[in-house]
Formats: sequence, C-alpha cells, structure tokens
Amino acid sequence: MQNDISEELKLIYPRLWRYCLVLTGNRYDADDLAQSAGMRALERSHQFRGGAGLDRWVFRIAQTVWINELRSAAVRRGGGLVSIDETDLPDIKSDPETNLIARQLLLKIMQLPEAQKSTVFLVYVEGYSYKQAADILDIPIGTIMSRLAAARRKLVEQMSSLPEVYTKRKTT
Amino acid sequence: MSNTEHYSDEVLTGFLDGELDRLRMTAIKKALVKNEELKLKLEHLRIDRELMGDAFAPLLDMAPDMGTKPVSVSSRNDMRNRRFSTGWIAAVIMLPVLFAGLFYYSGLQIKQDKWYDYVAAYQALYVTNTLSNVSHTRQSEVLELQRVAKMLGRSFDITALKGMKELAYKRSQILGFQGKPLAQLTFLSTLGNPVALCLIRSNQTGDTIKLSTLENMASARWSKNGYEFLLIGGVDQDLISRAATHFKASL
Repeated sequence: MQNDISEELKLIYPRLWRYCLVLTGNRYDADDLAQSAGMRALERSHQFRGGAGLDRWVFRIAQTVWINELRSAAVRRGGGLVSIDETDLPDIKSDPETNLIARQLLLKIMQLPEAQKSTVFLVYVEGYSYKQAADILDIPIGTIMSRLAAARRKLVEQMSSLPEVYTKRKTT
Repeated sequence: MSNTEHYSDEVLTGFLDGELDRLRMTAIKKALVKNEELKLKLEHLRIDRELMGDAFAPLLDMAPDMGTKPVSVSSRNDMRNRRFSTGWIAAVIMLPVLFAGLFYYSGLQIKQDKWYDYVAAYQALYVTNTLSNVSHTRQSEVLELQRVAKMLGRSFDITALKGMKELAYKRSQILGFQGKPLAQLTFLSTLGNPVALCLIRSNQTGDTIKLSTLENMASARWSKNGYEFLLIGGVDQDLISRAATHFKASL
C-alpha cells in the first residue's frame, strides 16, 4: 500500500505544494509543509481507504499539520521583506492585459483572510465540491458557503477597479 | 413571491456554483426573470472562476520535486541553516503584514532594525536578469502605478520617473513593513544595475539627501512631505546622488 501511495503522491505533489503555498503564503514554509504532509501521508498510508480521493486525504493532512504544528512557528519566526515577483510567474495567456489581470487576481486571493483564501482555492481552483472542501477543512458546508460569499464580495469589489476587459469576462 | 431577502449571499453563491438542490435552483432562476434587484445582487457576487484557475496554474511549474528525506520540526525552525538563491527568493509570495525579525543572507546573520535595511537586503538579491525582460505597455505601467499609488496614499508622476536617461523605469509594486505599505519602483541603469526607489510613510523630517553604502550598494535617503525615500543600487555613488536630487525635486 505504501508503494502505491508513493507513486500517486508524486503525481499529485505539485498540487499539494501549491495548496501549501496558499496556506503558508511563502515558499520556505510551503516546501516544508508539503514535504511534511507527504511524509505523514506515507507514514499513515495504512489509514487511507484506497480508491479515488488520495489528493483530498493528503490535502487534509497538510491542513492539519499547518494548523496544529507549523503556523504558530512561522508567525513567531517572522521574516524579512517578501514579495510576489510577477516577472517570475510564467505567462498564462498571450495578451499582456489578461496576464496582468490574472496576476492581480492571484494577488487579491492570496491577500484574503486565511479561512476565505483556502476555501476559495479548494473550490474555485482545485474544483472541489462544497462537501469535499468541507471534509478537507473539517468544517460544515454552511461555513464553506459563508466564506465563499464573503470572498466573492471582497474580490468583486477589489477587482472592479481593473480595466473593462476583466469585468466583461465575469462568468459565475 | 420573489423577494431578494429570501436569498442570502450564501444561497446565491451556492446558486452560482451549482451547489443548491434542484428545487432552489429552479426557484432562483424563475425569480431572476423579473426581479431586477435580485439580478443586481447576483452581479455583485459574480467572479471569473476560469481566470482564477488560469492565474494559479503557473504555480504548479514552481513546485519542487517531492523529497525523500524527512524534515524534522526542529530543523524547520532553524532558518540559520538555509541558503538563499536569487531565483528562489524571487518566487516567494507577498505577505500583507511584514514580520520583524532576523533576515538571513548567504549564510550570514544580519539583524535589521530599519525599513531601509530590509530594503537593502532585498535589493541585494536583484540582478540584471530580474528586470531586463520586464516590459509593459504604457497603459499597464500607468495602471500598475495607480494601484501602488492608491495603496501608498500618494500619486506618482510617470514622466518624473522616466526623467533620468541613465535609469530605465521598469515597474512598481507594493511591499509591506510592520503593517505599513512600502512602494518599490525599480529601474535598470545603462550598465545593467538594478536600482530601486522605495518610499514609506514616516514622521521623519530632514530635508537633506544622505548618501551612504548599504549592502555594498550606493544609496541615498531623504524625507519629504510625510514620506521617507531610499534610492539604492549599483556602486556609482555619483549616479545615485544625481538621481536622488532629481527624484527629490520632481516627485
């Protein structure tokens, strides 16, 4: 069982790391958290029921490790100036204006309160259902809805100052 | 009866995400046909989910390989053993509040007390390639500056920023120091040296430009109209002095 999880874990590791980046807000801690979560998953592979859902299981481990073990240490440790360097993000679209807007949106999401940020990421980026996100975060579905509603209001307000090309794109 | 008060933002969010039961989805769709107030309420919740996915997609390419060596909790807490590299630092995410603390550079421990010490240490990581490929349209430059200006609480004259022919203006961004926004405006000198003009709200007074060396880089500091300024980069103290005089007069 551990070997099976190991191979699948390697496949989902980039997504796990990205979630850890969202949780921690910086690459130092994301590296540590992702590696810790991965190791913890391997150690506890006997607890995984198998089948689909390894990603959600490992995401939940990362969430738990962050909340219970690493977050307070990261806050106490502090750090120097850190900044997202937009030139280091690969371009995602061919037109520069959409690139700029996408990066602004990413920044706005990363600046949301922690609870909203992780919920937005799990539902709107990873594509989990409300139920799945609620299981990962160990909260009721109603709380998922509250967080998403609050995040939507904030993002709509903040992104409204951007060029028309963004406001015209809005879908759901 | 369709009354927007029956549909909270949470319920409307569930509607937009397709997460409500069929009965409520149908009821809200019917209500939207004639209820303008409900339509408006929905519009204030609409976001671009596709763009969100696109925005986060590039982060997957930044993920390291999954390590096989266990990481102990105690070694995580010991940042003294970490080494920095420019590419690694350049990929971290901005925190809304800056923590005070020790900043490690190339294995040496340097204690930072002042905001400009932090800026200098950060600027020391910049190389020509950090900025050489930065290229914006005039419109996006202006938008970026407006955003920074709004968060900092003061405007910038882009003509003044482009007024030194030896310094090519590249971009602006907002950083943070102890809860205060700190603007960073970056340039590339004709010799390829990254130069930064940073400013932060301050009660400091002092009209004269102070020249010095920070992190082995030429630097100039001054205060004006409720802000402290730092210009830093390269080793040409004469260029920094002339540029400081220009920016102090024109910004």
